[in-house]
Amino acid sequence: MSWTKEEEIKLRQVVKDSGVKLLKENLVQGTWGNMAQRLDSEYMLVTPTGLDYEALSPEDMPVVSIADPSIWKDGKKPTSERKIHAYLMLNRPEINATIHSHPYYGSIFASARKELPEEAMTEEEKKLLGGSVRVGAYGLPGTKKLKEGTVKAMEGRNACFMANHGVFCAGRDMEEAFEIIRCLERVCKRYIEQLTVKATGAKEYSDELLFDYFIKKCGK
Amino acid sequence: MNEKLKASVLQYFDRLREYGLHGEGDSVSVRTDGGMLFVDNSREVKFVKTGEAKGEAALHEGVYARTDAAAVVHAHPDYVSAVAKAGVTIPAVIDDMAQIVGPTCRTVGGKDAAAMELKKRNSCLIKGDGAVTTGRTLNEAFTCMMVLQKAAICFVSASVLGGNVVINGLEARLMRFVYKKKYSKINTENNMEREGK
Repeated sequence: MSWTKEEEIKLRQVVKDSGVKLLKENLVQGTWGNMAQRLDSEYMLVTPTGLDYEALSPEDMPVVSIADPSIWKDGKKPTSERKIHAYLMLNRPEINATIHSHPYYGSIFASARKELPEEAMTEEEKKLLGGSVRVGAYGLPGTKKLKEGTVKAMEGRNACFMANHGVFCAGRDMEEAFEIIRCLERVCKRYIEQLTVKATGAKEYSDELLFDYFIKKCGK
Repeated sequence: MNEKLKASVLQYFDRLREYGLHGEGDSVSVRTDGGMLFVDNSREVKFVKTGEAKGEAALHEGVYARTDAAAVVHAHPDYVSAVAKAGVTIPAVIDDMAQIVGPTCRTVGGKDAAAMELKKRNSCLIKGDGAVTTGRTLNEAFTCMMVLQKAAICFVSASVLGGNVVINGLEARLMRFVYKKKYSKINTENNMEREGK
């Protein structure tokens, strides 16, 4: 254990505040999603399973072993997705904060299992996301298959989609991880709008344009 | 009247607007002894005695009569309304839909059909009239509406991406089972206390 009590208290608050921020910025629904904050090379703080972020207290976050995430102490039972957070922290020392969530626009790509291409991004966005955003192989929540699919899709990237599940983002600190998830959501939204305009031949995007296209294509 | 529960009904009604899930004709209610606490766009929470519900409240009464739901939300979020207008079924396009909403959410023809549909499910779309969700708590019914809107966003928007890849039916049912029996239990107990039940 190479961190001080003061550092731990501060980082516990970072995780708690970040959970509430995810909710307030509409980047997660309900209790879905989880995050991790590195304490040192061996341990991380993660969010507990099945509890909503507003009701959580900083002391509820368990300390989890990065090398063996089945080992944990303090706080409440950790998220079942902790293995993904741990694997990334173990293999990418530059990563200190990770967010797994289910934001609206990222979820569209996850549900369609479609990669977000680099041409949808500005140079700055490309740099932040680390290139095209790939889709990890499908697996049930908490399974090895989901972990392996996510880890592979994250190779050399700071974000990925998890098939029919959500998104995963990683940063050098929690602030950067947030910047990445916000950027991903923004690019996904813009790209959907561009594709809608292209599909309909309209001059500019509106939600009604997309709804009419959908109703014509899929309606009874 | 249970003032805490009354405040919770209004809180969740206001939350529909806060989360962009609102539309014309929204209403929220919670089951109570002998009736329900009901609120609509007037924002006035009223006690409606069983057998005396009229208009929009009658939809809620019909649901309580046919199900063991403790809370009902009828709302008109934009993407949900687009699917309800199209009159189609939302399949399990995303796993939190499979867990919280169920493996599918079907469109039915009217309010009576909705109450029947909700006997075995906790959500349905009404052709041209948004969606109805139910729950063991107000939070659960609200969260179901929120996730339903997300599933509708995925379903509608993926039409320009070439469509969704739908989750296998067996896996969707398994996720739903695990969620209901295990994952949601702690939150349900916490929320019952918080809402004043």
